[in-house]
Amino acid sequence: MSALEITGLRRVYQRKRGDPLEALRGIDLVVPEGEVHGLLGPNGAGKTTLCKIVSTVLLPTSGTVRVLGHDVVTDTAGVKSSLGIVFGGDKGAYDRLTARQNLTFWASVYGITGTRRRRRVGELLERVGLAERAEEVVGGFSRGMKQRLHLARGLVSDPGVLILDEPTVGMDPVAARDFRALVGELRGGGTTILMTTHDMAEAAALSDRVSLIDQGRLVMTETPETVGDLVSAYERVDARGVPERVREQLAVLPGVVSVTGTGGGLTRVETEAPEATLAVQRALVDAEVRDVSLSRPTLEEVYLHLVGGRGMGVDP
Amino acid sequence: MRRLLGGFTLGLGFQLRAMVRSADTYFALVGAPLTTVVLMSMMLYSGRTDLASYAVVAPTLMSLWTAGLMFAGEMISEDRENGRLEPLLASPVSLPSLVFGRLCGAMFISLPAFALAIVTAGLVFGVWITIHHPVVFVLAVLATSLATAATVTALSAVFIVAPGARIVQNSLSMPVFLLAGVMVPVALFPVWLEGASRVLYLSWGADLFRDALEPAPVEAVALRLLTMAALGAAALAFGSLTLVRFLRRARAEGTLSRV
Repeated sequence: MSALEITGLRRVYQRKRGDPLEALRGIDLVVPEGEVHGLLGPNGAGKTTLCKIVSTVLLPTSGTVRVLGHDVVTDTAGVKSSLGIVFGGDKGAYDRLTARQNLTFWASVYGITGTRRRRRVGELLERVGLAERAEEVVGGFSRGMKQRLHLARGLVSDPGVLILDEPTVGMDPVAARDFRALVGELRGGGTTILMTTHDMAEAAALSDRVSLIDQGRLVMTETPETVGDLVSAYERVDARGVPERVREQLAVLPGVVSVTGTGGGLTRVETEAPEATLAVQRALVDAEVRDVSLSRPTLEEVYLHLVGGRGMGVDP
Repeated sequence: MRRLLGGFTLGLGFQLRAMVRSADTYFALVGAPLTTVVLMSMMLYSGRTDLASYAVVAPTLMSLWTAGLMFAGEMISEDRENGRLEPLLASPVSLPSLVFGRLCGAMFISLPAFALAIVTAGLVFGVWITIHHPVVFVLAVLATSLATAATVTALSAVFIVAPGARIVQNSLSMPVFLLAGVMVPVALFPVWLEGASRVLYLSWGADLFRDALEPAPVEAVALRLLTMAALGAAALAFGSLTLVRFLRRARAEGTLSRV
């Protein structure tokens, strides 16, 4: 059985002013049990909407979502008992209560009581590195500590499926490293994880598969290795002192994705095939441009190409 | 049933722990001694020491209602503003039961309010109130507190879809106090108004409270308690259904996380 089955999922927000906003436009995705699945996309792509529908706090407009076989509309009780959720940001805890009291409350919310609750809360505080601060009120915690507490909250019921919505935003590097180690442990324990992130390197490092989402549509779902192959298909040529006439010639060569000026007289030519790179180099040499260098784009730059070069801007 | 009871006990325990650490909790108590002084002064000035119990019961019930209304208004709004409402809704707990449990916990505020009113009347005016029927008094406290929690649970549902309803929250107290006979006995109202006030559980609670402080035997205790229980149960049922309906509407419209 798949941990997560999403079929034809659409979500439309009616707005008081203006046209309705279609946040998800027919998403199809299957995540097998035990997989860590990275969901990447710019702000407003629909990642959080997807997470909210999976966690039953938002109803889909159409389509179906099943979590370990439970439908998110008709069997919310089944979904809720098998799902843990960590929304991003530092909000979500009771600031006047201690870390231990917060976790004890959330354990009770999931019906865990008595000795089992005490043991589980202690284990989780230890696991997220908050055992020594367990009796302090959460209001005095740093953002990173609060996020670690949220992570513990998401794990309190030992869920089969864990949703992590931008879990490392605002975490310091040490906490982020520990978080990644924790995700590795959870993967080892068979937990299915759906994780949204902006950080391609993080997604590639942690995920078994990665989905790119943009404007409510899945652009692709691949393994990090395949995404890595995509990266190697792209190349870029940087050159100084390129005459305008030559820049225009380069722009129309087959396989050239873009020709941009990056300041300081530098021209950057991006290509999507080795033959195109060769043709660009040849054209530059013919134009007697001598200051030429070759490099590969980062994973993030490839991602920006795939989502249409709109970068991290918010959709209107 | 287990889920409902679990939500209730969780909410009750949680609220009691949370109130100890929150200074806001005690705001509802500030008015109790002041109201006692005002009402006692009026009673004594008009030579009606026999109405001293009114001056003690009124601040207690006013604190109870004010605290209930305050918590009902803030509880869900705060959970929403602080990103807790969505994780709660994504969990198996019954939100109406949790809210009702928390509001029952908030009702414990009436106990120190009553003590403050008695001590104020005694120390300032030398009038020490005696509880002549302690069992009836305890039952009146329990029934009134539960019915208050049930009624404000119904009101809390409104705050999910209409955060602006706080204006109602702020203006609802005085009409309720007057109509329920918290300060003036319902029996002194015109007949048509007395009928309306009997729909409010608080009018039954106020009468039972005062009767428990008087030396005369208390009549029809069981019937009056049952009436309060029935009014409270009706309010709770209405509140729970409304809460569930409003939550479904917020899930459909995607307005749960908006503030």
